[in-house]
Amino acid sequence: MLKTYISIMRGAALAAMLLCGGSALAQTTATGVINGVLINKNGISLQFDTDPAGVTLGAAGTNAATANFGAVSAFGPLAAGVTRPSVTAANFTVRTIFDVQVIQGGLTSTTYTLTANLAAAAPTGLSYKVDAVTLTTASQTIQTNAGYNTDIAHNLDLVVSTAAPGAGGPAVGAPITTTINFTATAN
Amino acid sequence: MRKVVLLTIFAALMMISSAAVAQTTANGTLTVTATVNGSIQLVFNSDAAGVALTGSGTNAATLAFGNVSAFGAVGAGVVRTTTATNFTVSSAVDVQVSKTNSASANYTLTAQLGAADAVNAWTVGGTPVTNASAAGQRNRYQQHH
Repeated sequence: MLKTYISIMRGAALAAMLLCGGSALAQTTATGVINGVLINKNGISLQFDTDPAGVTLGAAGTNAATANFGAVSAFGPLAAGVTRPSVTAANFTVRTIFDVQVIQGGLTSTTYTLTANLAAAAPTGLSYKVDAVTLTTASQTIQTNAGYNTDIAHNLDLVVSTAAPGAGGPAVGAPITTTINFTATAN
Repeated sequence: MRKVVLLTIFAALMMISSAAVAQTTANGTLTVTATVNGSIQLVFNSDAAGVALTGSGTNAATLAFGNVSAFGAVGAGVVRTTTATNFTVSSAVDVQVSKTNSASANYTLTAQLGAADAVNAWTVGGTPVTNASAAGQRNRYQQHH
């Protein structure tokens, strides 16, 4: 009889402990539900990168970079990354190479079209080309069906008149700056 | 009610269209800077009346007089004068200097021997030249001499 009583008491004590334990656990956890709404916006971005064969760009990796040819002349030395593909009696051309990378996300588009234009009319005695396309203030197509997510090299040519300053040639001895606008449009 | 629904749909379409256009173009600006400097270039050209140069049209040419003597035969393009004390052989050579991005109207040409010559005397355009100092004359651009 006593043995039975002890067994019952042990069982009761164990049940009480389990209940206490369960109660304690329930008091240290909480659950909740957050209804998150994700709007997946697609888009593309454009950045300029330094090409190994070209001048080192300022602010490379951004969409507002600078390319400095340094001192250029028909016969004198040129900066690293600048070449002189041609010299004629009328003009000479200096060239550098820069990369454009366009990254897309959330689009089914696999290619883009690159256009460019001068922000303002070219300075006297100078003209600018990207991949042999002479730039004006009107937008012109540079490349169609360009691939995303990779650096694509482009030639930037500066064609300089050999005429003297004041006779149709450019100003000499001082930096001349021009801004080129680029636009990438997903195809 | 119907108008309100139509307007709502129209507005939604406009927003979608606008968003689609804005999201599929990207812009960038590349600012290009260069400093143009004037420059000149000198090249040697073969003269029609002189010895044909090796490396004509460059700034490192070679003029070979060939065999020379007071009385023997001389090569094509070589002219000789002989006196009792010496003889002179000469050849015409053209120097062309081109200029760019400069208002300069002429240039001064100087010359000197690369090494001393204790035996022979040299002149360019009638001006004696030695290895000691450069002798020069004023010339106009784009002209042959």
